[in-house]
Amino acid sequence: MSRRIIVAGFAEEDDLRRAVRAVRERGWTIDDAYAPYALHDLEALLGGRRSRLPVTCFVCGAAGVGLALGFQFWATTRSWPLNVGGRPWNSLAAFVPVAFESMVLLGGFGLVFAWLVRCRLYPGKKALPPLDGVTDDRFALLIDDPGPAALAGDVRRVLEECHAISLEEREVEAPP
Amino acid sequence: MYRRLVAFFGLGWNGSCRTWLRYEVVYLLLAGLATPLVVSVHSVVSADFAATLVPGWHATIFPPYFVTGAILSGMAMVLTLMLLARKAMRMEDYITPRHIEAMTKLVLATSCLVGLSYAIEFFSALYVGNRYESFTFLNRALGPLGWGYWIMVACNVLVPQLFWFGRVRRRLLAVFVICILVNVGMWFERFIIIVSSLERDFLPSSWSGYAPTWIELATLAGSFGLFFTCFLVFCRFLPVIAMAEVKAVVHEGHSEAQA
Repeated sequence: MSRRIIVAGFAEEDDLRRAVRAVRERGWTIDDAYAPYALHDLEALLGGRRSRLPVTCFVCGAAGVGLALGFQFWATTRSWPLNVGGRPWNSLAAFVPVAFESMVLLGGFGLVFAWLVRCRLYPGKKALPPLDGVTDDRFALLIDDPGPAALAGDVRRVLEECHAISLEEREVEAPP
Repeated sequence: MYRRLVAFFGLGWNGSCRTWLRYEVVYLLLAGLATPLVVSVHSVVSADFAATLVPGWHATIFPPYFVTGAILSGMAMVLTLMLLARKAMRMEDYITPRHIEAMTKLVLATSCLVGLSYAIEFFSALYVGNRYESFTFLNRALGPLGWGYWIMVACNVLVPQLFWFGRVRRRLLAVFVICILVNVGMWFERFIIIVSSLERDFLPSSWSGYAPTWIELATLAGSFGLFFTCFLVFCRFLPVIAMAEVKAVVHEGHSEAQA
């Protein structure tokens, strides 16, 4: 199913911020914003849920600790018990370094993998920026078309007030 | 070919702010995971020594001693390479004297910590009342490898004290020379820890002198070659500065330069 979106281009990050604020105030739906670098304050402006990546990282890290401790416990008490200077089989302190390294390994890999999956990024994927230059020095804002005569009316006026350097309507198949 | 490779590893990045925001979360969490990893890695390496009974290695100070030493040698190495790359690749506008001065202060701080570790280690060896331990340290400082010990102390503790002076911190040639000396000093630290303890253990009958073989020298040269090959390949084909991070602060840089 196709839908119409409005693509506005900006030369400055402050113009993009102003446009995001103006669009949100009017209740229009922002599809996404595009920038050549991270804009830290845009999370609050764009709205939406906080990222759950920290939870994913914690779960993967905890799994790493659990697996490493479990394996070492099994190996030293069940599979291949060795008497090392009369110490108990389940010498927990000796398991800490491996458990820590496993936590970092699984937490790190799990986090990056979850991020790639969530953002639908993978090696070899063709980059489709909404405007030329948004990975260089341009900024873009994508707004779901709020009405039939939108570009002729409010949206065009508001975006032009925010110093949009380009405005166009597009038909898209799926969320870009 | 190069364009195709960059496009392949570009992961289809389109500059979406939602992707950027998630990227920042990943960046922060990976930094949080990597920082304790530095402590863990060097503590475990030092524990490989400390868990033995060899005099000079069997010491509880080893984990913090190795961690501070690693930060000192790491900072000095980064400064050495960075100053060369900065000059060769004309990055003076991006890596400013302010960055270099901040790094020299970190070298100075870790150098003082390493000096404290040397002093505590020596004091403990003499104070503990174990004659093998005290002999090992007196032998390190005054024995056949004493020259290496004093090179280590001079390069790692005394020379970096010059960074107390602002004029030295701002003279890039002086910073480069001091950092090279710290690299030399840290190489001698590892050499002294390993060789002096193994040369003189519990049994005088097993004492010996150490001389590197051709294989060992070639391995050392090979390790330099491998590192510099990777470093130069990286400098040649990949951006050495994260461009997106520079773009984010370039306005502040301009206004600072105009002020």
